[in-house]
Amino acid sequence: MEGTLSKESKPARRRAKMKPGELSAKIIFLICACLSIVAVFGIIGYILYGSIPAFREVGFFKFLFGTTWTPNYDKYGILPMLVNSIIVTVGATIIGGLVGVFTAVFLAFWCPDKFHLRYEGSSKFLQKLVAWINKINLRTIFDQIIKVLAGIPSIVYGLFGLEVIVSLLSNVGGDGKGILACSILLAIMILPTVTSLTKNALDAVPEQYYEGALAMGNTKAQAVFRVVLPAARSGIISALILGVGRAIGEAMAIIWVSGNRVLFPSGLFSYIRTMTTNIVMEMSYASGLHRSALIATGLVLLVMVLLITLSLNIVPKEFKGKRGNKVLHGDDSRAVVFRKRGGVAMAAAIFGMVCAALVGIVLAAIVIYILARGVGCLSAEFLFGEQDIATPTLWPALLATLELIGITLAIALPLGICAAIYLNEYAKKGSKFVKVIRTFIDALAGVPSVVFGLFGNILFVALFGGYSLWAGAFTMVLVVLPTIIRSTEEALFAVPMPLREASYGLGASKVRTIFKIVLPSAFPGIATAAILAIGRIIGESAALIFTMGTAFNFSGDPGSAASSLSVLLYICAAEGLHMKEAYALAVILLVFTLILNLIVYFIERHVKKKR
Amino acid sequence: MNKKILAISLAAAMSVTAVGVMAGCNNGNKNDPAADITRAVAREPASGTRGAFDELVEGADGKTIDDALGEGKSLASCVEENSQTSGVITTVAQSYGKIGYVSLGSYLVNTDTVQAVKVEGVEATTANVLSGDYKLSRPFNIVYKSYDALSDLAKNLISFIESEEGQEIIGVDYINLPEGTGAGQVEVKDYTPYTGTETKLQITGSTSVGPLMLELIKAFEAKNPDKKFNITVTQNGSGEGITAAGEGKCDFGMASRALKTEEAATLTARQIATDGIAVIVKKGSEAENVTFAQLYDLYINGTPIVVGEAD
Repeated sequence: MEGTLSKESKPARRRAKMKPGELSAKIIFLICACLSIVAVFGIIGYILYGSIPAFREVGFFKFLFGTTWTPNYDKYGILPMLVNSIIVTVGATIIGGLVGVFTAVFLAFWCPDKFHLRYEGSSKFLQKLVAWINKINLRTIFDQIIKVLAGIPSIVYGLFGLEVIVSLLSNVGGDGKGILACSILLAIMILPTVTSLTKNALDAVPEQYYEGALAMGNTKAQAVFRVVLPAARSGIISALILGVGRAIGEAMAIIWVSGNRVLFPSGLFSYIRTMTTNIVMEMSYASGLHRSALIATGLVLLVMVLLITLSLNIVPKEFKGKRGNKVLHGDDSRAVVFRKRGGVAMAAAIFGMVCAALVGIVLAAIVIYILARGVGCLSAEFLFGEQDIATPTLWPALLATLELIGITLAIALPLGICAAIYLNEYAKKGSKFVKVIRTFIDALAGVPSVVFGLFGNILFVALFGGYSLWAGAFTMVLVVLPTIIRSTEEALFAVPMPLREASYGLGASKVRTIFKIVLPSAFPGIATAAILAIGRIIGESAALIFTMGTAFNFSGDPGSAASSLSVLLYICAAEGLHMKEAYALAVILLVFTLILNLIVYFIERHVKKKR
Repeated sequence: MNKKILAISLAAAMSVTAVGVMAGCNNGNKNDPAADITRAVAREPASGTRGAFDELVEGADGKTIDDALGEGKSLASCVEENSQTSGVITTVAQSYGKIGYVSLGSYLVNTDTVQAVKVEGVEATTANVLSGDYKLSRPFNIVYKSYDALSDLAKNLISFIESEEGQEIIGVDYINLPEGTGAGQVEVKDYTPYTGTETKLQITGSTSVGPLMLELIKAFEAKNPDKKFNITVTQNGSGEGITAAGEGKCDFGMASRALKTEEAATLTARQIATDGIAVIVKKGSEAENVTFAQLYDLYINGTPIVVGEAD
């Protein structure tokens, strides 16, 4: 790209005045890209610093491999929680990964576009209904289901887990809480990630693979499971790894269903506590060495997430498809073998359909649960009542949420977009520096939100002199920055090169090209990124409780404490004094999620039509 | 290759399931109101409610749960820990075989799903806590570095809490301190409305003290109708309240426990009220009374409480 620029910028050279501007623009973009690295180092540095007292007093190995955790008697050993975290994550990945991958396979290969219902009776209403049902695009619906699952706040999952999953499991064994309940709940929470990424990986496999396999005499199931799936292997592994990262960092949901005892697991239904829940449970009460030990727990968690992110880089990104090629060029005898084993592949295909149906049922269960609990609680008093310091009402939380979104995006969007511009437009493709930046951005994306909360509490709360919306917004900037950068980057990457070249050819400078040509064409993608960020802000609670506070009232001044919708839901549910308001908030958050998804859907449709 | 890994992991999952179903505690019958109580719910170790419960509940040998934990014992494996009061209430309400404890104030708004049992034959009412017959109680404190360093608004609010109106509000769901000038007593004075200029106040801390503090502030604002205050109360735990007060991140903190020795070196706690702790079971349970010894045995040794012979 550098080469094309020097060739084409001859007219620009004549206008030498533009050059300092060009340079300063490049520097600004570079600074923004580096800020994300600073953010990661800042977080790691702070957590390292904060955990020093714990490691010094307790000892590194005693901390990591100690088996008792009794803060009241200054015993800090996290081994049971470490083991529990790993077991639960593995459990969730097995269940969620299996269901997610097979659902994706079903969506990619078997899901019909439309219902093909027939109705030959005379009732006009039924005829219309059937025609309407036949118009529904099934794939779009499944896409939406998965996005809604991704958008439901953790706490709502927690309540659902406690009141539905646990009470169902209590008929199987124990009282339902423990490893199995945690694994199932986490599996549901990682489903969207695994399914959508696996589907992307399957879609990326060249069509010839599939067609070639069919031409060799394989059945459809054989072609899918023997050729396409192995070919998409690296993408699927990445999807699973990202799922693992999500599962290990989750706290606010499993705190409700784990039983929270610091014990080694003795069965599927023994009470356990994970590292994340330990931080969330005890942070509010901890001081001194105890607090430091919790921060050190955060450090262990962070290191694990960093390792997971780094392992993602080892997975080959390019589409290699060695296995697929082997099958394509394979001798006839193999094809015969396939035909004999056709039953297995077919069974797998049916399993895929069952999984997809399961995903639909799970979402339906969650939505029905929220509506059944919440709709009756939507009182006029709560929805339209004046704000009051002692009773939770909707308006102050809504105002605080909107303000939080506004401030966060006002900071994060320019920062993120500039960083993405640098990475995509300026940096040399494949340079080591860019790789490092990308790795750090991915690492930032994987940091559990509890850890952001810890960080924000120490830095931003101190900076702004107490809990305030400012502190919350700055913390959220760190949380949403990676999403914005990566999505914007993808949007910029999708802008065709000839557009830029034509602009250069007309004599436009690079900065002008970026702002007048590239950014406008990437706008829908950037808008989607912003909406994803909004979704994350609306759903976040762990990072905000210790930065923005939990006040019921809010005057609109960003310097004072407030609570967003999700935080209000948490605080209403926590003491059991305002359960009605909590359920009502769950309904409101669900509606928000649906609206945001619809906006994304319409943006995407608009883009498709344009092309 | 993939299939082999899949098969192995499935086999592993199944064997774990088999072990899991066999292991674990005695489950009791969750649908039988006369079922024995085999499982218990506790709060997390650092909670103010848990601290008071552990300190007060004595076994037959005169040792408290706290003592037992100090000797290196741990809670029985049939005891789960829950960091939210609502989690305790929902969990207890799912089975007749469970018992738990929550703040008296929280219990009083959830009487449709759970019921309180008598402890040592005494009913959990504010009157019984006040008279000292009901043993499970704990202090509600506000925490600051020094009274003199507080803002005029904070001082005025405290004087309101300690006025007759303030004491009346406390008396609705919680227990007033006895009148007097000593520790754990309150000197009730007349309240003079706020005349200062500062209107911003930040209070942080215990989720148990929070609801009471909010009611007090509401009445305080009504007493000063011509002022436009910007008072915010953040409820995120006693420890955070104490830490924030120490670091100057708020005007004063709230704590539902006494200060630890190292905290008391730099901070002062001022008790504003007393709170009872209710021991709860599922609504409709036939369990009526528990003794401290039964609670101790269940929480430490996992010995079920036999319902029917409990009296």
